[in-house]
Amino acid sequence: MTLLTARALTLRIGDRPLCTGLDFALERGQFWALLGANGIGKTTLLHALAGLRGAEGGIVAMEGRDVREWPGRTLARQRGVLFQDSQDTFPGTVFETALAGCHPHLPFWALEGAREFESAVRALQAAELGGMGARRIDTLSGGERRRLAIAALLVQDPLLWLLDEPANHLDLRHQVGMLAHIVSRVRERNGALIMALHDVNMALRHCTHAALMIDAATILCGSMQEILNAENLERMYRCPVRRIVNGDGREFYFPD
Amino acid sequence: MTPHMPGDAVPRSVNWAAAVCLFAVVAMAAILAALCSGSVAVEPAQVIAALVHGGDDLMARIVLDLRLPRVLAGFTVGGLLALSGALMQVLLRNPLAEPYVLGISGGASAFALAAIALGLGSAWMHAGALAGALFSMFLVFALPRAGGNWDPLRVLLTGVVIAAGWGAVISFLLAVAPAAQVHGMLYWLMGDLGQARFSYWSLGLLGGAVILSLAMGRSLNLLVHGELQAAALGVSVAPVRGVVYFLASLTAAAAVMEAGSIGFVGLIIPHAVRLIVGADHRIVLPLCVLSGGTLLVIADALARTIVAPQQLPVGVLTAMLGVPAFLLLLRTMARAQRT
Repeated sequence: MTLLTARALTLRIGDRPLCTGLDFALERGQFWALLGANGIGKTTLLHALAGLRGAEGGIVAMEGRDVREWPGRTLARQRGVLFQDSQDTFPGTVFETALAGCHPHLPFWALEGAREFESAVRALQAAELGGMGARRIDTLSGGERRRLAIAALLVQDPLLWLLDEPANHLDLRHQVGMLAHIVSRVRERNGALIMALHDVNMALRHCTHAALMIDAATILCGSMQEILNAENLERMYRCPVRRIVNGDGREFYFPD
Repeated sequence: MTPHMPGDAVPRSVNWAAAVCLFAVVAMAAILAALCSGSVAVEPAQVIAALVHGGDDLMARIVLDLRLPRVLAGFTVGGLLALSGALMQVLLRNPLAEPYVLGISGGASAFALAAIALGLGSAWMHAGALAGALFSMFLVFALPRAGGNWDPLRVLLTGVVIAAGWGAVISFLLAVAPAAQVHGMLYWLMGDLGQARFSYWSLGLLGGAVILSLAMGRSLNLLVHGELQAAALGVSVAPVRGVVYFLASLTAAAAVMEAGSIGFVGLIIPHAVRLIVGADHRIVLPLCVLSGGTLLVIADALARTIVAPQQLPVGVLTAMLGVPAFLLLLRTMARAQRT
């Protein structure tokens, strides 16, 4: 079933086109990697897909309805966004920050109750932040803060996850662990995921599909087998890329 | 069974109901103390008797007719200022925002002082203050938007520059005003409750603003993490921002109109409250109102008594009390967090 579609999507910042006439469909059960060079517009595209910014042309539709027309809280129960960085002007506690994820699930007058508290505790444990609930978030390390943002997203529990460089600041173990946890969570709900990444091998490990942003007019979309190859990667990153196949058949890409 | 680890089950940094009760009791004690003190000392028992039974004796009339209106007006003004400061800090996502820093009080002062300098009546002065505050608020928030996006830092800078501009206008007015008017102008500038009278209108505004901002409480908490983050969690950012802007302007304008330009309350009280109870605005905002009111009531009681029969402008006292208390709190809390 199609969850999210983009039709003839055109995005511009100022006069600079980031994508022109993109057609794209994201089905339930799919895991997409959004790859591209620095500054090519991965974040802007993710924001447009999430309905956080309007499009200069075309339309993004969630379950057939324009994302910009969805009521905010209803949309927030459908899709969750992990941003590249977090702003903490008046830092609260770790627990409060995770709990914020339940906002779309509660009417505005309601206070969080036992169910929300429990969900936040479980999310914190999944993010390996158990026992840190009372800490102020400005005392966390970069990686811990990142895991907390993911925990808040686990509390939000959306169907479609849009992640902007989810592995930022995470150590090797957490890069693998956090993403594996998210992927299993998405599978459980038969949801979908799209994440902007720089690590091609991580995309290979977790994703079924990829969108390669080469330039505004050329965004290659398709299954991993179809479009992820050394030739396309070289074209996209404009540097030589080598493909290595492991003994167990898994493939890896490295700069040559 | 709930998965449970020590340190996780911390739904609230403090017990909200207990905190509100404690702050309310302190506020009432401050009001009682303020009603007792003045040029004629009145016993607390007499004050309570007057409040409960009314009465026509001298003490009851002093308490009910002279002190109560001023004390309640002081409480309302303090609450309005603290609430306005807290809301502006959320709106601009900046700990430095408050009506005084953003030039709201400056605009009100310039217009009100012009009315005083021209020898117009107090109705004109009040109307001028209201118009000046709203005009300034409009300038601060409309000018930076002309360029396109809403950028909190640009709004803050605009406010600071506009405040400096009003400062120059005020100096000019003080320089050219007739000598007879200058004393009144200075008192207005420093903030003075001498002319303030309790009005149901301000109290109603304060109550309404608290209820409305509590209803938006969770949205305010999310807005502090940035507008995109808030929008991603389903907050309708533009309407919420509009309501916060409207409430912050109106509360600041009402406070300034009532009592002149009182600095520091809007800055210090919200930060002090956050240091004590954490960052959740559903508890921060009501406690701001209670403690802002309390600070102003105490400051005004001291302003009336310490150099009696002369009265000091209350703005001097709020700063003299507030600044050292805040610095002490900041130090204590910083030490507590490190351990």
